[in-house]
Order: sequence, then C-alpha cells, then structure tokens
Amino acid sequence: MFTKHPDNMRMEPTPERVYSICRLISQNSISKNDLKELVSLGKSNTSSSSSSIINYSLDVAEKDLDVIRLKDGKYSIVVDPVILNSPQSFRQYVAKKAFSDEDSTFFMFSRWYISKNEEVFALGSWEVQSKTAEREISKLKGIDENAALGWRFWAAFLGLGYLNETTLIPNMKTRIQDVLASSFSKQFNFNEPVRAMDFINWADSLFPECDLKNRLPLAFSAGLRTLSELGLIAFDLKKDTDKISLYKVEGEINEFSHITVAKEVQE
Amino acid sequence: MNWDRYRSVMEQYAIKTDDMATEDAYFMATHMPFALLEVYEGGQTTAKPSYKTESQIFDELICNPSNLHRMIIVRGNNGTGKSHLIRYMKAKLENSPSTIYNPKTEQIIFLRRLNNSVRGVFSQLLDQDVIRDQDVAEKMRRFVKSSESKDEASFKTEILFAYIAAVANDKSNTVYKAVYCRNIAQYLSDSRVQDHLMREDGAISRCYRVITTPSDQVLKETRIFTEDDFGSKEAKKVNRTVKRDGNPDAQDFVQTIFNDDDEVVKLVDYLSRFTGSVVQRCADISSETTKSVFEQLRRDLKKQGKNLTLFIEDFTGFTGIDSELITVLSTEHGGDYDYLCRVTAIIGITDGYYDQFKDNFKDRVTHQISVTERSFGTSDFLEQMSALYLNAIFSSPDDIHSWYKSGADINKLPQSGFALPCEWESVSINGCTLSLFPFNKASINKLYNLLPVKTPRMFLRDVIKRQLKEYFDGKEYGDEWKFPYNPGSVQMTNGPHSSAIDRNDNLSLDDQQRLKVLLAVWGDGSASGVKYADGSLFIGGVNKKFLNDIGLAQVSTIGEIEIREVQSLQVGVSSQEQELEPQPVIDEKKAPEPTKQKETPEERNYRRWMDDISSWYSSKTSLQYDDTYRTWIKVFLVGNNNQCGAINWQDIGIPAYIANERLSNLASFYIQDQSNNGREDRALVYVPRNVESRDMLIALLEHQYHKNWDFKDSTYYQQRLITWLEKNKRTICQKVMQAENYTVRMPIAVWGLELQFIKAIVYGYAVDRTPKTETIIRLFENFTPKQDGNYSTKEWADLVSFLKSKEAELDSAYDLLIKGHNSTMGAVAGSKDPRTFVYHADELLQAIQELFKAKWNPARFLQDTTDKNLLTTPVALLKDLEARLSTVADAEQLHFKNTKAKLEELIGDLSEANLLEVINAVKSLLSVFNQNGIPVKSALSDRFHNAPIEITQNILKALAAVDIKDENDTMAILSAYSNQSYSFTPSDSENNKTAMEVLTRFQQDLLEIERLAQQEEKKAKAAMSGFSGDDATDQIAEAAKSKLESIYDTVEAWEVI
Repeated sequence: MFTKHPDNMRMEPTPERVYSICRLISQNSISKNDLKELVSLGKSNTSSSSSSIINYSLDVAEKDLDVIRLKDGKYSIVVDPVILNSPQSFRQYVAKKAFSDEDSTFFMFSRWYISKNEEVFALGSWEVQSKTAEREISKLKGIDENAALGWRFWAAFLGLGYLNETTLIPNMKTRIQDVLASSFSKQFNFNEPVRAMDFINWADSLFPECDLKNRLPLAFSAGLRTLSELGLIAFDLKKDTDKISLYKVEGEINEFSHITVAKEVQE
Repeated sequence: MNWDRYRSVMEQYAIKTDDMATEDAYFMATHMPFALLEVYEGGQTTAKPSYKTESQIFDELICNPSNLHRMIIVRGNNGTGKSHLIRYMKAKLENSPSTIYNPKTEQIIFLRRLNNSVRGVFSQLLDQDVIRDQDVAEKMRRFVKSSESKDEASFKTEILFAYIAAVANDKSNTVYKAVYCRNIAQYLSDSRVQDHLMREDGAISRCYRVITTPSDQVLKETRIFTEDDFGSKEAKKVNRTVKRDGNPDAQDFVQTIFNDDDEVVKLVDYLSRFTGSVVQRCADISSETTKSVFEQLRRDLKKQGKNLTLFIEDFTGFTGIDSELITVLSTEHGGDYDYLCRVTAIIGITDGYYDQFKDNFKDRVTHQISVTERSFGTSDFLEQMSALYLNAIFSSPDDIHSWYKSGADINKLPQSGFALPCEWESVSINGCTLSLFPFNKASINKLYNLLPVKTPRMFLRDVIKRQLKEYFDGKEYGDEWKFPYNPGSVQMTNGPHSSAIDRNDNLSLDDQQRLKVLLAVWGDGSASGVKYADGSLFIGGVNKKFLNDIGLAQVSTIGEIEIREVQSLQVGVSSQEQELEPQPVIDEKKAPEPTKQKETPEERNYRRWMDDISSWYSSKTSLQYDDTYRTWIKVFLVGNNNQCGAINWQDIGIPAYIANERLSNLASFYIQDQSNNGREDRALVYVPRNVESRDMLIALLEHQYHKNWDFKDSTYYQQRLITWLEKNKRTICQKVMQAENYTVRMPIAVWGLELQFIKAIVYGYAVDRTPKTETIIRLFENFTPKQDGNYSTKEWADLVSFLKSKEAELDSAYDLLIKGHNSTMGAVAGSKDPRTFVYHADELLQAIQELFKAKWNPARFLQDTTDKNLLTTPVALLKDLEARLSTVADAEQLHFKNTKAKLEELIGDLSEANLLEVINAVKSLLSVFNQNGIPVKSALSDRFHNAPIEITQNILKALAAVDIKDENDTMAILSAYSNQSYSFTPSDSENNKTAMEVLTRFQQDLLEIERLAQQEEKKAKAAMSGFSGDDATDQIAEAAKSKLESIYDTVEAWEVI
C-alpha cells in the first residue's frame, strides 16, 4: 500500500482491519492459521474472501508498515506497543510510513490529488480521477479506479480530507494536527507567534505530499483554517512582514504573516 | 439636521396614510405620470387594449371639445393609482387654458376617494351644490346628520332588519320560492345568526361601514356578504345550533346550506341583490330620488349652457345608488334627451367591483382605462417617482408651497439641497437633478420587487416611508440603528461574505443584519472592496462614507481590496437625463410581456430551503423543512448505502454497525426550533441555532442543489461544513458510543459474550469456559431454547421463560456482538448485512480473557446506565438476569441437596462401596425378577445393564459435578447443572443428561425397584401361607414355596439396604 509501485492499493485491507489485526498480534504471538481462525471466527476455511482479506491486511501490517514480523511460524509485533494504544497513535505512526516513500503509488497519487485543488470536483467519479491522474502523471500509468477506491480509505484515515460521496473534500486538518502535535515543539514554542515563512519552511519537509513552496494547496490551507477556527492555531497579519498566501477562498482568511500554535493541539 | 422636520413632512404632506389626502402642492410635486395605460373601447374587457400615456388619455378623452358623451371607467386593483390618476386629470383640466377648460361652460364635480361612504358621497354632493332639489337636499342632510349621531348597534340592527324585510317580502320566486324566502328570513332573525352577521368582520358591519365610514377615512369594502358569513368554521358552529334548536322554519333552511358550499354561494349572491334597496331604505333615499338628483343637475346645467365633467375617485361610496347613477350618467344628451347636458364621467373602480357589476355597466361605458403594473412597474418610473418623493420630503415645505402657488411648473421644481454624506446616485428629470439618497436605483428596484403587492401605494408606504423612518430615527437617536429595514428574507448573493459578516464579532447582531441587507439590496451582494484613485472606498458597491453615515463605520471589506482608476457604475454617479413624461412603446396594440424565466422544481426548492434556513437563523422562525435538512446531515455524517460519510467511523474505533444503527433514525438528529416533533435530549446530533449551524445547512443545501462540489465558492462551503464537523465531531462520537473516548468505551464485547454464555447455559448448550478461540466461535452461535427442554426446577423453567420474553432485546444484543465486532469496508450501511467476516478478534479475545478471570460473573461488568439503547441493552439484560441467575442457582442447589438426602435415605452414605453394593443388589433382584417372569420395564433394567462399577462411577461423577464448593460462584453452579454430558452408562440410550437428571433418575429407579420388591414380597407371603392337600399339587407348591422364599430373602435383603 505504501511502499510499492505500481501498487493496486487494494481496498480490502482497510485501516480498521490492519489496526485490529496488529492489536491482536500485540496481545500474543500467533501463527497465521490460528490468527485466521480467530479473526474469521472459524470462517477462513469456508470463506475465501475472509482469508484473502486477512492475508492482505497482514501484508500491509508486515510489509508496508513494519508493525509485525513472522518469526518461527508466528507473527509478533516489532514496534513499540504504544503505537497501537489507539487509532490516533496508530495513524501518526502510519503517516510517517505512508509519506516517506515518494516513489510509492500511494504517495504519488496523494500528491497529485492535493495538487489538483478544487479541480478534482469537476472530475466526478473515482474512475475519472484515476484516469486523469494516469494521464497527468506518467509514473502513475496503469492506476485504475480500484486503486483510487483503496487509496481513499487510507487518505481519509491519514487526514488528507473527508469522504463525501465520490469526493475526498480536501482538508488536512487531522494530518496537520498530528504533525504539529508530534513535531512542532521540537522546532518552535507553543503559544508563541512564529513567522509564516519560518513555519512553512519547517513544514515543507514534514508534509512531502504537499507542495508548500508555491501557493499553499487547498487541502493544506483548509486544514490550517479549520485548526484556526477550532482555536488550535491563530493567524496574524502584520504589516511590512513577509506573508504567506493560503489557497484563496472567498470570505476566509487568505494570508498570514505569523502563526501561533496552541499547546492544546496535542490533545 | 432637521430630521424631525423631514419625518414630519413625510408623514403629514408627502406620504400620508392615504395618499389621496395629500395636499395639492405635494400632490403636484410628487406626481409621476403613468405610462402604458391600457385603454379599452366600450365596457367589455375581452377586447384587446391599446396603450397610451397619461397625457394622451387627457388629450383624447378628458378634453372634450366636440362635446361627445363619455363614461370612462378607470379600473385597477387597490393601490395601483386610479385615484391618483383621476385626481391628476382633474387638476390638469382645471389648470388648462380656457380653450380646453372654461368654467363658464364646463362644470367640474370631483368626488374624492376619501369620504367615500354613502354618507360621505352625500356630504360631497351637498358641499359641491350638486343637489338642486331642496327636498332631496334636506333628506340627504338629515341622513348625514342622523347617521353621525345614530348609535352603531341600533344602526346595524336597522340594516339587518332591512335585509330581513327585503327577503321576507320577496315574492319574485326568482332565486328562492317565496316560502323559502320566509324560511331564510327566519334564519336571519335567529339571534345567533344576527350576532354572527353583526360581528366586526360580518356582513352587517361591512354594510354599516359602507354607509357611514367617517369622512377622514377611506372605505375599502367591496362586498357586503361573503361566503364566510355562512360557510366559515364559525358560521358552521352557529348553523349547528340553529339546526339543533332554532325556529322550525330556520331549521328547515339551515339544512340547505349546512355543508353545501354551492348553497352558501347562492345565498350570498341572493342577499347581495338587496344591498341597494337596503342602503336606500336606511338612507331614506328612493331609487327615483337618486336618479332625479343627477337628472335635475344635468337639466339645470343644460339650461345654464354648461356641460358636466364628473370625476369620481372611487365608486364604492355609491353602493345602493350605483345603478341609478350609472343609468342617469349614461344617458346620452341630444335627441330625445336634448334637455340634458353633455357628461364626461371619469369613474374610479376596482377590478373586483367592476366584474361584479359588469352587466350593468358594459353597455353604457364608452371607455375603460386599466392601470396595471405595466403602468408603473418600470425601473424608470419607480426611480423617478422615488426621486420626486424624496426631493419633496427633504425640501422645505415653504419652497414646495411657493412653487405650487406659482404654477407648479415641473421644470422649476425646488431642489432639497440636502447635504449628502458622499456623492450619490440621482436621476435627472426635465433638467432637475434629484438625488435618490438614501436609496439608490438597485435598492429601489429590489425593494419594489420584494413587495408582496406591487403597487405605487404599497411602494411608497412599505418601502420609501418605512425605510426613511428608520433612517431618520437612526440619524436622530444614533444608538439603535434599524436602517435599512429588512423587508423579508433578503440574502447577499455572495454566501461566503454573508457568512463572514455573521462571524464578525466586531458587529452586533443587529448591525450584521443591517449590513447584509444593505449589501444585498443597495450593493452588489458582496463585501468586496474597491478603492478608487480619489481615495474613495466602496464595499460591495456601496460608498464606505454611507456606511459611516448609518452607524456602520466599523465595517471593513472582505478579501483583497481591488484598486481602480475611475469610478464606473458606482453609486453616486448621475444617470442619463430623462424626460419626466415616459413614452409608450411604439406598438400600441401589443404591450411588452415581462420576461420571467420559469422556475424549475429544483430552483423552487433551493429558494424555499434557503429562505427557510435564513429566516430560522435571522428571524428566529421555526425550521419548516427540518426533516429534509436532518436527512442531509445524516447522509453527510454517515453516508448512504454505497458511499461513506465524512466521519470515518471504523477508522477511529467506532464499529460501522454501531454508527449505522445509532444514527439510522432521523430522531437521532435534532435541529433547534425544528417544526417536526423530536426530543432534543434524545438526539445524538444536536444542531443549535447559530451561525455555524446555518453555514453548515447552507453548505449542504448548495451541495444538494448542485449535486456535487463543482460550483462557485464550493471551497468556502466545504470550509464551513468541515469546520462545523470538526467542532462537533467529538461530541457526536461520544454520544454515539456513549463514551468519552476510545479507551473508556463500554465493554460491549464482554457484555455480548456474557449474554451468549448465559443463554447457552440456560438453554442447555455446552460451552467451554476457558478463553479459547473455540469458545468465542461457540458463543457466536445463536442459541435458542430446546424444543424438549425439561428443567429440573421451576426456577430454571421460569428463567427460560424470561429469556424467551426478552427475545427482541437478546436478538439486539446478539446482533451487536456479531455485527458490532465485524469490520466493514466503506459505507457503514454495509454492516447491517455483512458478506465478509473479519472480526475485531483483538477485542473479542481480550473480552473473553476478562470474562474468564471474572469467572463469567456478570456482576463484575455491570454499569449504571440511564439510557436504554442499542449499546446499553446488553447490560440492562445482564442486570435483569443477575438476581434471576442466583435464584436459579440456589434452587438447583437445594434440589441437589434434597435428591442427595433421599439417595442417602435409600443407600446410606453415598460412597463407592455402598453404591456398588446397592447396584449389585439391584442387578441381582432384577435377575430374580427376570428368572421368575416378573415384569420389569425394559428401560429400567437397561439402565442397570452395565457393570455395577461402571454405573457406580457414573453416579459418583454426577455427584461430583454438582457438588460446587463455592456457593457464590453462580455461573459455575449453573454451568455444572446445565452440563448435559452425563449418563448411567455410555450405552445408555438416554445419555447426554445433566448431572441432576442422572441423580434424579437413579433415585427414582431405586424407588421403583423398592416398590416392585414390596409388591413381590406380598405376593410371596400370600402364596406361602396355604396348600391344597392334594399330594401332587402340594409337591409343586413346595417347590414354588422354596423359590418364593428365595425371592423373599432377596427382597428382604433389598429392604435392609
């Protein structure tokens, strides 16, 4: 899902399933057969789909996320179990993996989707979206509707947007909040204004799926605006200082010179 | 500034409550000529009209140098300006040169709309010396005087009795037969009917007003009797009482109109026929007298060498004498009527009234002038009219009066000189530049179009006067600005800017609303800023200085300010000069049809919903279409059958099944002040009335209307929608899961498995209590009561019955366990009928481990819950079951103790040795019985077929199984008693018994054998007591006796046991 290219980004191993299986393994090492028996409650022998889904989910957990490993015929976790404490901690872990391989299909499609801004709304179905991405990004040749359908679950989970009918409403509130919560204080202080330019320079490496060098993309801008409305960050616009332009939206804040991140962003 | 003076001029001179009371100077200073008046030849309304201006009509119809007979009807709806037109014609005629109007040869009579009751008309006729016959004049004076002094109640009674008399005396048999008329008269005489007709809105009160309305008021009645008088809900109540206990004749009649609308209409039409005669009777004026008044006038004028031009602004006042007047006025002079003068009659009449009396008129009317919206509804007309009124209001009254006195030349109209706060939009009329301040062209046209009834009168009253009043109040008091007043649910076209204003905390709620109305109506519907080279700033097309002027100085632009060199088409630039007299269209036969695009159903719904939501937020009205909006919210949050919702429930730890079930019902969604019933406290998604909710609803509306997100400003609406979602998501999720966060969720897996465990035990299914995969798989089966369930105690049977009675709740809990722990890909709706099974085994395994540690004791997992719902149903069931389980456990324990005691009574200590001895004895006895042909049930003997040690061990095993040391371990006790893996022997055909069944069976078998033994003992004793004396026989008997003794010994031995 996050490391391969080309990757058909199967739909079946959803974040819910992968997380649940990882948590099960974290309770006790378990053989593949026992795991299948338990996860399908005895149906893995009779239901090939259950068996396949479990296989795919194990693949994502093992090969894409490095959360589990098969040793001596048994799966066990190879990460700090803390990351499996909640879906949120799992998400933060997954995000680091998902956006670390710029050559993966998942990464390239994410970057393309974010770069399209509001143009994606005119594309309609996931089929058209995947075909457009294939046409516009040569490396995405061969990507199809099913891949886009699989991508959307993880994209929504990782906080790139919100699913609504055949659209992922671009808004990276969750993704940005996760990064701010884990990394902001390493560079800046909470509750203190930071120059917009410094903030964006810092964010640039942490959000490789976004192009922050030019006008901020819609998904990133919308995420910042939502965080602002939630009181988790505050924009300031001071005269005679460098400004950063958000993606223009009528009736909304469209530029800022400073940003203050509240400590509550970690909650 | 003279704000008081402006207001006073407006109210006292320029725009009076009834504009016909406006004095001449202001009337002339504000008069707007009509264009596109429809002119019909004759009295029919079906012919095609021609279109003429006011001046053309004056020249062609009012000026009458050829002395042609004319009866001109000016008709139109209320407020369209008929009276205004007639008044202007009259003024123009009076001010015309002598070649057109010569007082020596032309008599003008002008009957005003004000004072247009019968009494008012009589007064006006007397005042204008129209009544030449002194007797008639005296009669009229008497009527005017008496009607002024007469008590209202007695006058109304007089009117009512006049109607009753007219009906009672109707022998015409035209509408109703005479006998029926008497019944109607009786019906009208019923006191309850009388009270109803004399109520404030009743027919008799209307008639009273038609006759006596005071001279300073305008009568607006056109119909005396209406359907409401006999067919309304209130009238039906009255009729019901008449039907019940009225006069028999009245009862007869009331049957006719009761619940028959056609009969009600017939009665209304019938009674209306008498209005003329009733009015005449009350006024003591006969039909002939009325005719003679005007005939005499025409004779006298003829003798004086004069002709008559009669202006009647409103014909309503002639109710009762209208036919006579029309007859007299329509008589053409000359020929046989050479003794009568020529008449030019210009009579104002509403369309409704004209339709009602069309038959009387149509053959007598020479022309009709119809005043329609086309006559005044054009932008130019409205803008010029507004400019004239505003100029008059802001001008000094002295200047206006002087101007009037000096000939009222429109080209010399005084200009107000009002000090404008900034350059402002104006119109130029005949060389005079008149400002539209504080209106502009956009606001004038938009406000006119917002009027429910679009007439000049309504425009002046509800737009110009209403808005100016607020402006003057604001300027004078400054602290509570209400200008501009919102005439309805006006919306800014730029939704994002509108919403941004609502979220601007620097503005009060009132100021937010004012600003939005101003930008929507005066401006371009946005709050975008444009700065011009001269430094002037416009917000949404409105000069910032004007915003400062009306107390909105703190308002700023939204978004980037555009810089422009030159002002163009902005408020404050004079429009092209116009002539006051508008020109008609060239094609006089064909009027331009207003081009109205037909609204599609989608557009209609969009408008309705938008108005509804806006009004709900701004005007605090109830939300009318809340079920629609709640459905939108539901779909947005939860998705539909195929699509995911915006909350990725499964990924944040909320099972799809729970999200779907908890939010499947619209009752889970509640919007503050919604019209449909609902309970706010039960809602999982509560939408309060605030700006965020409003924005969310509008965002969903826009999305619904456009069917996708590909539309202008969609990014803005998405922002509002997601912001609302994120502000409410945590609360929604907490309510759906009834838990503060993921880590403190209710133990639904534990509850579900525990319930399954209890069901299995109670229904007699074997379940391993250890935390293994097989146990979970076993507990995922759907346990149902066994058909042949025999329960060892009544308490156990009662518990089974209880579970059966809770089938629905148990099914719900079962579904929650099965479906609530399955994973769901995509739309949460798919969780209801899953096709793949990939369970949250981590949770299930953890749950079963906890249950194992707690020895499956439900008491360990009970929680207090106040709400009964999908999530709490399992724990509610467990609570119900907890005490019952203990009761059953106690009963089973007692049952065991009793059974054990009985066995001990039969056997002694239940040791292996004792049991073995007894079983050996039983087997011996059964063998003796068998050898001697004594019948024993085969099932009984079969049970003792196996080796005694084997049977003994089975009994001991059963005894050990139910001998639970910890009497408080209810679930262990019940498991033991439920376990159906016991039997006497492996080959026992009745194996798979509970331990208690084995022990009870054993006890019952022993008792049966005892009974058999005793029975055989008796038989043996009897046989041994006597012989026959026959040697051969006695020999045989001796042998039998020996055998019997053997049996006896064995049985006795058995009894010893």
